[in-house]
Amino acid sequence: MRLGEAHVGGLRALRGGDGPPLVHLHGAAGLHADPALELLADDFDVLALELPGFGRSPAPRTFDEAAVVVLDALAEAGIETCALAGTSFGAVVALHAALAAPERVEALVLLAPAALRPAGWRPPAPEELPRALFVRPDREGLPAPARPEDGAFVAALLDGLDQEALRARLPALPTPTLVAFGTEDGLFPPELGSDYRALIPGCSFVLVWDAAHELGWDRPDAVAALVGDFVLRHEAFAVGTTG
Amino acid sequence: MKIGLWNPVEYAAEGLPRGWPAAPRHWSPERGAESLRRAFELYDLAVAAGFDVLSVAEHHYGFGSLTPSPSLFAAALAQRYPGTTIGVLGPILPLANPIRVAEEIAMVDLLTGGRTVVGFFRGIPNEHLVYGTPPEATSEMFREAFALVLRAWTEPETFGWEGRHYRYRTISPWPRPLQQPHPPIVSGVTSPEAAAWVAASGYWPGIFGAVVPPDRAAACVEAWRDGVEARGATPDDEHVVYRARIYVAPSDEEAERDVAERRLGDSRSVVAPAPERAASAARVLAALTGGGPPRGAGGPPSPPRPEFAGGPESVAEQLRASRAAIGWGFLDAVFTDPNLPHERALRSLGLFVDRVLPTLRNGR
Repeated sequence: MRLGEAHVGGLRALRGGDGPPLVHLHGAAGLHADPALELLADDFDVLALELPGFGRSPAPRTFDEAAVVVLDALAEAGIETCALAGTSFGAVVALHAALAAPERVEALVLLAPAALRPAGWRPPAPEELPRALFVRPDREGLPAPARPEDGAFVAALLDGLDQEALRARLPALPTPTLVAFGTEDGLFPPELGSDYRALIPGCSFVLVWDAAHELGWDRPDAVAALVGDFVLRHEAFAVGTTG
Repeated sequence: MKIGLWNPVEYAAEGLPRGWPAAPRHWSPERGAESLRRAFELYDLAVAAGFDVLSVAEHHYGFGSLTPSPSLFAAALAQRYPGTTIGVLGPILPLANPIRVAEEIAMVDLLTGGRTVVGFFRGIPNEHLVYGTPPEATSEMFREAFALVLRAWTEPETFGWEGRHYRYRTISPWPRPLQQPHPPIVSGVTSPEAAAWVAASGYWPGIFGAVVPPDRAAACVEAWRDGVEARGATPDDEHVVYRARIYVAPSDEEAERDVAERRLGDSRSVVAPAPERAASAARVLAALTGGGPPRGAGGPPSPPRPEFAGGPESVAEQLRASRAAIGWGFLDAVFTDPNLPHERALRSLGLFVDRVLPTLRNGR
């Protein structure tokens, strides 16, 4: 189902579908409806929010600040609890929202999260970026890369993220959490999924084959099925069904 | 130089009508037991002669091989021949549960004390009938399953896999291989492009003499060596596996006579259908291969023959010349042939051990 322009609290959003609310926070490329979200709108009320700092909204100084803006906007729209998903940069905001208000996040989905990074990590060279983001970067209809002003703000926020402090917070996260990386992710090594799995007690880690960083674009059917299953069943998604 | 014995463990099928798939009614417990006795007779001789590696393959439904589960047979070899490296060459990935393969190879590596090499295969078309695997999917399945096996051996935490052909939500294989991160991987190559990929991946190239002509094999090895050097490593010729059929007779004349009269090296007979079922089987093969010719790298030489055949001196010279021309350093040799009586295979291996192997070892 197509997502349409909407507002959630004070935030611009793309919204569509019926069912329990599933909130998604975008990556550095900004708000757009990736094909996995449109598929998820068959079963959920999908709310893809535009993060503070993008568009015309003021930029937060920390991820905790960004998380508060998101949580406040959801409360203003009457959404007290929801499943919260994020991709890349947005996954870092989603993670901080769950850390700040675990009682409001029923399930957390981190797609290629940018939170934990290996020591000495550097982004790929510009000419390598398309292949880092997409398995088939020459396809039509892919979202444009991050605008320079967004990229600078995103980089500043990520650079300011204290890795040690974040790692120390993760063992206390009580939320059922799915971490997924594409096996071909060229931005962050998919092996990082093991770090989340080791640190978060309720973390399930799944590798998505034949997907790069933007796994919702590379494997929309698989990502929608995986995310939908986890949001509905949490850790029980590991249990086989006849359905 | 490393010398391996590949033994497909053929069924003692004397007097039975050939054909793939073999009719189950041709199974007899006595022949089955005799088949195993023969196989171990060859393995015993090779191990006593100091062969470095014993290798086992996966084939199904025919007289040609009684090892549809290569890891099961590898485990038996590991117990019977401690200290010898076992080559599991190897699982047909599109037919298997990749997680099970990762678990079983890790078990074999544990049982052999870390003396395991493994190769993965896509399977020849008729094998895709065995469990009803869609043939058009097997290329993708192979690629995905290979990646999944490697992940299963290396991920430090429990993980899931959302593939195109495989989906698992809980993967945590136990045991893991004794060799870390995993046993050496032999990857079959038929082209220099494939050999370059094998080099870049850190694997060992495996070349089947039956399907890759010598000049092409040499080009593959050259591409592999270039690729290894390109990543700053030193190529080791003992990592270049050349699987070849060998027939040694007391004299060149007798060897040539046997090759011609017995059609030695004509491996097509292993998968050929029974004559009365040929038309029916051709329709199945056409469906398996999409109507096109079976894939391969130019096919076997015509007429087919073992890669090395002759009296002991000739075979030794052929091997020296082949090694110099192609650049292999790990010979995975097979002395059996569907058309060769066991006693002749045993004699051939005996002649190899007594009169060829010493000259090869001296020439290292």
